[in-house]
Amino acid sequence: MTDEDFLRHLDDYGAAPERWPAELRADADTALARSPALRTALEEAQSFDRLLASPAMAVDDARVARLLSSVGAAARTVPQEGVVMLLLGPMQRRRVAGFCVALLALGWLTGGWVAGHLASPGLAASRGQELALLNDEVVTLFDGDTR
Amino acid sequence: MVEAGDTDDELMGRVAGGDAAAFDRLAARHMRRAVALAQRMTGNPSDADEIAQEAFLRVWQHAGRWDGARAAFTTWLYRIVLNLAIDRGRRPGWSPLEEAGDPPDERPDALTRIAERQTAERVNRALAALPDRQRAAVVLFHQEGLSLRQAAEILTMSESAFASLLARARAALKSALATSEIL
Repeated sequence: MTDEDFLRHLDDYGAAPERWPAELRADADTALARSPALRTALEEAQSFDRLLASPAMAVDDARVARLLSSVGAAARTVPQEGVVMLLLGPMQRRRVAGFCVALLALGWLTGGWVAGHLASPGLAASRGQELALLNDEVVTLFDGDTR
Repeated sequence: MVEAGDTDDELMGRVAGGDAAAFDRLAARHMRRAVALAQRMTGNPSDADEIAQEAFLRVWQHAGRWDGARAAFTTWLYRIVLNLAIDRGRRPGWSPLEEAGDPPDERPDALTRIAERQTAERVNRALAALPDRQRAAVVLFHQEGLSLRQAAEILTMSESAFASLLARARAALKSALATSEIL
């Protein structure tokens, strides 16, 4: 790592080389050990990082207790999402719409198939009569009397 | 100390099954950090309170969606908090009067404190002017002290993309603070 590389990474990631991307850390340590100028630059950069790392945000106990009480009570009145929503929830709206259309199409096709294969009572009776007539004709043909 | 059977993962498993007591324990463990993160993002205690409550309600409602194999609970919670803060669409509003605190006196340490507060205010204003995701990058990495990888997971991006986002945020802040003669 050249001095220029080190300074660029210092600008990009801050004054804690141990928090830089893993592949840069060993080279950064080597560069620091080699160059007093880089160590000075690192110290200067630390003042900028201190500005960014503002003091810990104070959240007092009473405030936390009030929020916990509020959210605990709310959770006991709000239902959790059901199994259907768990399945559909992560899906995008377009996918959900497509899924619904596919379900409708499947229902329509299934309904058509079932209607085609399950005969109604009236239809079954007329088919039975047709078969009986056909049998009569066949019997007649083999009797030979009607030829 | 976390007792056996009381890790975040185990509590979340029970929350997904509708256990409100487990939810209470989980909320008690993470509420303070959730509020602090929301307040860093919004700069407003009132908004932060609403965001933290809404975030935990979403945890309750959608607990079944959480997958411990994909992300730690805290990663998921931070993601919810950040998204709510960004969706709210408000810039941090810093109150100079509130930040100034006590009336000024003439002692050197008091003057130093006032100067520090004014500097902090300028930094906060520069931070507030950043695009949302750049501000989130600075908050997560510099203020929450998360690693590049952890912060990238929360913002659902690769580590290299996060490093690039952070670099842009730092450059913008350095430029803004140099303009205001802090650097």
